[in-house]
Amino acid sequence: MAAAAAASSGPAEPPASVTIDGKEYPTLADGEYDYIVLGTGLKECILAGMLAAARHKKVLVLDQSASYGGTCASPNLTDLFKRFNDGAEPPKGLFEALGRDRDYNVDLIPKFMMAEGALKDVLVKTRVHTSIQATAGFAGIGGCYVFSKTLGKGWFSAGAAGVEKLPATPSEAMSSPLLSMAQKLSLRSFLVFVNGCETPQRGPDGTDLTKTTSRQLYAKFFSSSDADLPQFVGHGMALFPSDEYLDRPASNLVAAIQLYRDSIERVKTSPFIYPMYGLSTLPEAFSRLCAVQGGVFMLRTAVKGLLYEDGKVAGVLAQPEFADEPQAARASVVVADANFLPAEKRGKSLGDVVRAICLTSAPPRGVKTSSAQIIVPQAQVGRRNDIYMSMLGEKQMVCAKGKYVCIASTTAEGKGSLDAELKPALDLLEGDSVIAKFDSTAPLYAPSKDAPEDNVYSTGSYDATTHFESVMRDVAHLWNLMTGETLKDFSVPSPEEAAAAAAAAAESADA
Amino acid sequence: MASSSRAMYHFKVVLLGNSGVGKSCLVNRFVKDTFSPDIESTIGAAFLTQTIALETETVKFEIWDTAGQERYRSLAPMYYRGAQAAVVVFSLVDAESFAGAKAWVNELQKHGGSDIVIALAGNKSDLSHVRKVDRDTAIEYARATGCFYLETSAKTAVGVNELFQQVARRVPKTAAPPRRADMLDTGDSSSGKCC
Ligand SMILES: Cc1cc2nc3c(=O)[nH]c(=O)nc-3n(C[C@H](O)[C@H](O)[C@H](O)COP(=O)(O)OP(=O)(O)OC[C@H]3O[C@@H](n4cnc5c(N)ncnc54)[C@H](O)[C@@H]3O)c2cc1C
Ligand SMILES: Nc1nc2c(ncn2[C@@H]2O[C@H](COP(=O)(O)OP(=O)(O)O)[C@@H](O)[C@H]2O)c(=O)[nH]1
Ligand SMILES: [Mg+2]
Repeated sequence: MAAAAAASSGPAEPPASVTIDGKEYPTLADGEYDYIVLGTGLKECILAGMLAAARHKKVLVLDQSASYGGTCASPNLTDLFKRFNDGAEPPKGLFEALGRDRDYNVDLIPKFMMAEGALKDVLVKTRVHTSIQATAGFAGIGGCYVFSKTLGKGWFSAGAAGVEKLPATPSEAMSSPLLSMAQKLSLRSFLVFVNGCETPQRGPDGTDLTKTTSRQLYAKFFSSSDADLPQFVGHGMALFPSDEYLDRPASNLVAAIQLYRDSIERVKTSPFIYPMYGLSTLPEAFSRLCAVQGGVFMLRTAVKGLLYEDGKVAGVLAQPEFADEPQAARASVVVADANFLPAEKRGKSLGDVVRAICLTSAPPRGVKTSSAQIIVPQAQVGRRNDIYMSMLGEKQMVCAKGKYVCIASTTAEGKGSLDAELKPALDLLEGDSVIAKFDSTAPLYAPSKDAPEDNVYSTGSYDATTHFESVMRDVAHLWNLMTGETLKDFSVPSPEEAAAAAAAAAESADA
Repeated sequence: MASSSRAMYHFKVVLLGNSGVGKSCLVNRFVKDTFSPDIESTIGAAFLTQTIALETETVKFEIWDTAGQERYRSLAPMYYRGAQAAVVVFSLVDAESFAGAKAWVNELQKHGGSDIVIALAGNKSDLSHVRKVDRDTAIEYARATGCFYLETSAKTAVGVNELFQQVARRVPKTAAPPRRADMLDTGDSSSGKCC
């Protein structure tokens, strides 16, 4: 009784039931929100955090899983095994071979952050980077490697397949065995041109790069018989996953190389940084941003369906683990991971991303750093899409001492099996070093293209690229659809500004 | 530069416990020495800091409040990752919250760092006339699980400084965490250069 009295000054009790489209349901959480977000992947958590922090929206976030992250989760050994084996408990032998559960935070998708990329901007604008730095921090990735089928080719040798470190600095470029002397000189003049572009849209000589294709730009610097340099630049530095960019505006290429350059300048060994303890640190940190602003999170809550009124979404039906029947909450906008949506709302699948997570006792052949990204350019192995492999280890707090997490991924091209799609990358692992392997195939969905008529936004899924730039493009696009604001203009008031605004609002509410 | 002779330690401390036991009020009392019954909306930062001077050293706490994510048991692991100490709070006038505290202690001992210091705080001691959890039960439980127990009132401030003083004393000073790798130079951090 006294406890109730003491709590009476808190927020108002939620209503016992919620009525949507004439039907009455038990109340889910507080019963009424501005936005309901389905899923706790990175995109959902960033948007939930941005809505709460910058727009003071009341947000409810639901996920059936017991942990944050959705596709960006970083489960331990037990959870990883269960996810890939229909919930079955892992055999004892797995731990004997790999070590303790608590040492593992294995990402389900292999992505790194470009040190100067769009995700960094949002982390800084929302000040979420401070909470990550205070718990885990970011580590630089040790090196980028590129696969060549003719490594060390010269007058007397045909060369052998293998990986070589991508040069991170101009001086490394000049001594890289990946390039001949003539290529080095061509590359140099190309990079001087890129450095000279004050904006990616305009060359130092005044060329309009939005009206020039990448192919045309290359032709100005590279010999037409040289197939290697465009691959080296487009796939190794600009990190394009296929050759589609060749016939798109060169401004995209220049922007990507400038981002690579700026990011490498910060990290030195590669353009990438990585949040210690796994990628799920990112959605977790954004979930905290949202919660600190009053957002409500419910894990272990199965979404049962969307509820409509007059053709527009009006709420969500969901069942928390602790409840014996589904409950509902109102909201006029729903933002959902594509996996939550019925097929007709997800849009067309753009293909399949295949991934193989390998827990190994040795790094991939040729890798000499404690963490790495390896690119297998498509043309080197007769494909249309690059194959990527990421390697992380104990230093990034993702696995036990002496073990490595190597994840190979690519966009499937109908080669029949996952192993066939990923073969050139998987071949870099010594067969007996692979202790456990977890395969997945995920359809690729784009986010909602236009503002949806029923106010249900799909966040889409995660592509095969090795960084978060495309993820952030999705976030920027969705934010723009929902609020009309660009990510460039997006800002979050400081706690002091927010307190002043809240005080002013309270005053006007009193009046 | 008298202070330079004092060792300075940074510790992360997290508050755990059921919704409504007074965690946010305790943080507010410790950091700002105020009590307002409804403060959730005014916090707005991921964590707050407060410094305590011991005899020979200074301890700076980064204090992480749950931000309400405990309401549906949806705390993110990053929240207690790397914490040197945890304050598990229950309300002396709510027996269920004591059961909740036991569950949180359990969880910490399973997932927290191996030498994490756990304080068990029985809050709302000002409401002693309607008390539901007796002192001996709580002391006995704390002893059995290797925590230390204190009673507090965020409302009257009784026991609050004492609680954090005790935490500061008990955290092993050998393990002062180095400032973590900072690859996101944002102009606002002290030039933390990476490994
Ligand atoms: C209203 C509704 C309609 C659906 N219709 C279809 C359909 O027509 N065809 C189809 O194939 N699938 C449908 N699904 C999704 C289906 O239930 C599976 O969840 C999904 O296919 C799992 O895919 P996945 O393993 O790749 O996703 P995961 O990677 O396992 O899921 C991604 C994220 O979503 C979370 N999640 C997924 N489903 C739910 C849920 N139901 N409740 C709470 N959290 C969830 C996961 O925990 C994770 O965080 C629908 C889901 C909902 C809610
Ligand atoms: N009488 C009394 N009430 C308290 C005390 N601490 C907190 N409360 C009340 O308990 C309620 C919940 O407090 P809060 O700090 O929000 O709890 P939290 O959910 O654990 O963060 C509020 O109404 C507070 O006013 C206390 O020491 N004594
Ligand atoms: Mg609170």
